[in-house]
Amino acid sequence: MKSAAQILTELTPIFRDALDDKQLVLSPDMSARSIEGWDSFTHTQLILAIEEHYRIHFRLKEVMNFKNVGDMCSAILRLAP
Amino acid sequence: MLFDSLTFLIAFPVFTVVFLNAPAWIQPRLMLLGSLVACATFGWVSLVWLILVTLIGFHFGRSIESAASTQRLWAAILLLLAPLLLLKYTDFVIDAIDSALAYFATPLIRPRFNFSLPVGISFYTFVVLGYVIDVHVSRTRAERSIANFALFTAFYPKLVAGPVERQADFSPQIDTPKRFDYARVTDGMRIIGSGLFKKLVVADRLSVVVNGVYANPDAYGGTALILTSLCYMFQLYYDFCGYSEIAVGSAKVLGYDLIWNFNRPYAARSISDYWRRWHISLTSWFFEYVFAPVSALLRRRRRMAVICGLLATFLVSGLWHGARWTFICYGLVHGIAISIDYLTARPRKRFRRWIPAPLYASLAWAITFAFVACADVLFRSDSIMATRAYLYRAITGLAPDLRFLTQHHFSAASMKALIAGLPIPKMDLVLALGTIVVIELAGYWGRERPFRQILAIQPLWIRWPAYYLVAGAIVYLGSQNAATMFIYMKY
Amino acid sequence: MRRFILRILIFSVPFLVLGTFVAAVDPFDCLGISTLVADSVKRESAMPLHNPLWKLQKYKNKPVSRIILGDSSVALLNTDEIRGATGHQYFNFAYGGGTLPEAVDTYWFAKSKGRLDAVYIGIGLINFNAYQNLNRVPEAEAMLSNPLKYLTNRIVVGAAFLSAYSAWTHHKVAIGVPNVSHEAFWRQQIDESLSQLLHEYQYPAESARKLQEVAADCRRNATHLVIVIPPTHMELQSKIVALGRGADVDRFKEFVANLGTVYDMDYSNDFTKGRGNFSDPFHTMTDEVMVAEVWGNRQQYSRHLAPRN
Repeated sequence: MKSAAQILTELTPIFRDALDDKQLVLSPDMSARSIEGWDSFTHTQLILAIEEHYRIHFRLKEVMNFKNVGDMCSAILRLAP
Repeated sequence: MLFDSLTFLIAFPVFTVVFLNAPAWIQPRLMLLGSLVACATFGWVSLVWLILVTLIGFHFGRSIESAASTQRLWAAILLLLAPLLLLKYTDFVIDAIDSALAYFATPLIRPRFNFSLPVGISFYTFVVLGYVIDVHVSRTRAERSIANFALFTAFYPKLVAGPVERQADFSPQIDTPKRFDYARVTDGMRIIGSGLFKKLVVADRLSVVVNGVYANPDAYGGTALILTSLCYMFQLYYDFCGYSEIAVGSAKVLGYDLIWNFNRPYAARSISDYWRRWHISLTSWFFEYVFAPVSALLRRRRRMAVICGLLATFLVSGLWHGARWTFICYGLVHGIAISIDYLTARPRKRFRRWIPAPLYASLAWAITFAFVACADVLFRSDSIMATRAYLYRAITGLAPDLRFLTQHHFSAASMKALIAGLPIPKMDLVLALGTIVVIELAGYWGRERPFRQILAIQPLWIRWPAYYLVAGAIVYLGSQNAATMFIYMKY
Repeated sequence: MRRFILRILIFSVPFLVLGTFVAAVDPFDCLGISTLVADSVKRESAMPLHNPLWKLQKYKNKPVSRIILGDSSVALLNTDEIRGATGHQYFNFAYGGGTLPEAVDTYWFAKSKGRLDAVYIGIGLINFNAYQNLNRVPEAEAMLSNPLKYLTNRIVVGAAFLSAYSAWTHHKVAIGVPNVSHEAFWRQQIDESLSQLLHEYQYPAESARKLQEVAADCRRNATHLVIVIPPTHMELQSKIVALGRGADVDRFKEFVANLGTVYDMDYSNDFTKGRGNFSDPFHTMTDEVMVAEVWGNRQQYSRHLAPRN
């Protein structure tokens, strides 16, 4: 079973690619509000990339309601043990 | 009562003084009352629709929170959209049916309703829709107080043409006491001043040439048409940005923060960048509530999901502006462009590494700007045929103009001759275009810190002359003709 | 908050001072509260700056049922002489640099003030051009109904300074008087002004439609509508043909012939050949001939145009 920290490390390159920010360092409490360029458009691209990477499928309500990076990590942990 | 009317000029300061000195517990009610009275100045019909949409939204917010069901959500969406769809699109649908029938057989002359649109309905309907959906996906809690909810939908500074606020951003501000704060009030006034200047001195001045040329584009040459399309770009931008600034500024004076709607849109270097800078509150609404669900639903189809989401988003956004083929086409064209933007993101990234950064930036900017200019011709024209004719004339008319200029060795007189027919006093054109250059440069310098904040910390002998310049221009160079409206009021 | 309001008041002092000054001079008599500057001074220094505002204001106070619309070529018509010839009082609503959209809007303005018995419109090919579309009448109407717009209009502010200067120093201000010799001005009008005016010509479909509405309204209300084509010097007429606008002149005359009674004075005859009859190629020296032809029905240097259909 992966740890949340491990997921965070794996997510970092995905976020960097989608948000076009090479220096981005992720933390669980980061949200669309605190990261520049994270809007609905890039959010969808992030979801696509994450789902492809982990071969998982989030629920629609989940996708609409991720409040921060931490939420995403826990959803990934639940779906991809 | 519009922002640039005399009534507003008198009513707003009076209301502000009363409001900021009122006891805190009464302030939300006072604000609601003021907003409803202001809405009623547009006619009782507007007020009735506003109250109706507010009640539907409030009821469904509570009911969806108590038991989230997709059926209730759909019922709310349909009920909320029904008035807007009915008033805005009935005649268009009848027209379409009629012309389809005419294609096959004799036309059926069905009645046309010519409904007049209640003020702000396109905006507050979306505000309430967003709220109901947010409650459904538990992004926000349902509002418990009907008065607070009504203030959220009716808040006068944003009632007529946005910004499209989110309940999660606005509602927490309602119950905090509002007191006079020198820095805040003066900052708000600087924003209002900037908005009035953009609207009255620049946009209305440009509207003269735009209206004249678009009424009869066949009469003008290539240079004049291209110049006019630029004028329209900036008229549209300054008109709506001016409106938005007055909205944000007056809200700020009263102690509320609203979303900034514009962030130098014409500096964009891609179409997706442009839409992050243009009418930000509404665009982000569309992305949140149209693009996100559509692309999330279809996301097994990978890239197609994003493309479908984008096309759907921009089709709806085009239709939102009104029931006209030009708007639908405008949405579609932008949808396609942003899809291409999305699909070519990786190759572009590679290409960027190859050529010098400034060259890439100017190339990207020029392509984006030219595209937006052409799409705006579509936005302004009466029909798709008229757009085609305008663009064709503008582009093919450039060669003869260039020949004319070379014949006259690019003399000042020959350049003047090319735009001599434009229906605007030339001084006015120079004034408007010159001002645009100054404002855009100030915007460029103020990227990190807004220009008005830099001004605010200057000594009095710099500040006041600057204020006099702006206020004097608004008073003495502002549009004097009576019949000007904010463009975005009609959508 | 008190300190803030005080600052706002101090800030607005210059605007209040300027507003009070303009109100005190009242260059177009729109407020009617001050007689500090004599009417004759205002007529000389303010009227030329905004003809429509001046005339709309005068007419508003004293409507007359017979009006003359058009540009400078008929603006020189003296209504006292016309009264001498006909016994009727006229109001000359023609503006320097007047256009068709202005004439049309002025017609509806005059009509809103009372019944009209006769409307005379002076038009030549120069105005019958889609590019001649400047319209100062809506602005003037807005100022008449809103004192704040009047006090803050930059032309009114300019006129206030000019009137005050003129009243204070007893200097006459000469507005629009050419500072070149008669001959040089004549040549400049033919060679430059005309070419500029007609360089871009387009049939004014919109104004034509609006004129037809005016004509229809006149017929409905039994208002006598007369079109006057004022005389221009032959040299100018020939130059128009030389510039390739001959067909446009014909088309223009054909159009106005269908509107109402037409007095065409703009053709080759002894009057238009005489250079001494004209102050410049566009304008006659005096209004004598025009009054005799149109109101005295002399038909020596004018002809009626018959409608084609």
